[in-house]
Amino acid sequence: MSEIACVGDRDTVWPFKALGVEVFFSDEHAAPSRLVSEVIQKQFKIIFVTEDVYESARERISALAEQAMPTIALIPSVKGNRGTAAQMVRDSVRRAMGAEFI
Amino acid sequence: MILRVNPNRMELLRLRRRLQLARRGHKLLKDKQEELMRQFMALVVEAKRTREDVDRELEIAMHSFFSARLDSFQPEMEEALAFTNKKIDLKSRIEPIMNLRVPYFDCAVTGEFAYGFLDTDGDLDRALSMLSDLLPRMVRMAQLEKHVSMLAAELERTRRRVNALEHILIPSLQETIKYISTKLSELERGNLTRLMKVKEIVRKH
Repeated sequence: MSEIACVGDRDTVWPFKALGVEVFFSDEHAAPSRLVSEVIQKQFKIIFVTEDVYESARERISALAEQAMPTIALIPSVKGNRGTAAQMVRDSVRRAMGAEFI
Repeated sequence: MILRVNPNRMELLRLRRRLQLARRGHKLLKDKQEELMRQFMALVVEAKRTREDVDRELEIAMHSFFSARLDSFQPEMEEALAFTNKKIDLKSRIEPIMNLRVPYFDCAVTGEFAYGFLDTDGDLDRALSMLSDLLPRMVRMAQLEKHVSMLAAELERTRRRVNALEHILIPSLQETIKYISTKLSELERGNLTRLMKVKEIVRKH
């Protein structure tokens, strides 16, 4: 089994299938947040999720922030990049410094 | 704020030891905070740069994939993609930064695409080879962002500890020590006057 997974809408994650990444389609699943929980339990090391999926499973994902594995990273979907990941880095910086920076 | 303790010599000694310990802890935590901050700044800059690169290239690859998809029949293409000899070789290890255990990944994509070239066009090839070059960098980006978020959480915790020691515990210990020592010397003075008084009374008789 591949150690990298990708969760998102079909158009975005489908190409990764060809690279040997395990893909899960959030738009064909009733509840994206439940899908994320299922994927997290499958012991992947890295899980890429699209911004939409992240929005709907925010709590589940931020619960893993302190753990080394699995590592969850955001990718933009085909619909465009909303800059959620850059925002996350900025939030981290604010947490660390106690003040806004860069 | 004065701690609620009995003002006696025993407490005084105990508090002095606590103050010493608190000062040492404060110094250590402060050093830790500085080191974490140094590493954090370097990481943030790199994470930001990698994220921008990956986002840009991912967008190009996806557009190219999208246009390839428009040109060919979807079922055929999905079938073509489902059979792949590509293998991802992901090595992971967990290493410590200070007291944190953070993951490191090494990723290599091996093997060939196994789809037929008849049903698909050039856009698809381009998109897929771009993606396969991009994947190791995406993995690196994931690693960097994980490090950033873990370090940020640790920095926040350390900062709170440093502040608690610096602004609450150490001042209140100092104040309490001062309170006890003044109390003790006051008692001492009281005792001395009493003795002098007693001596005077004894002399008069």
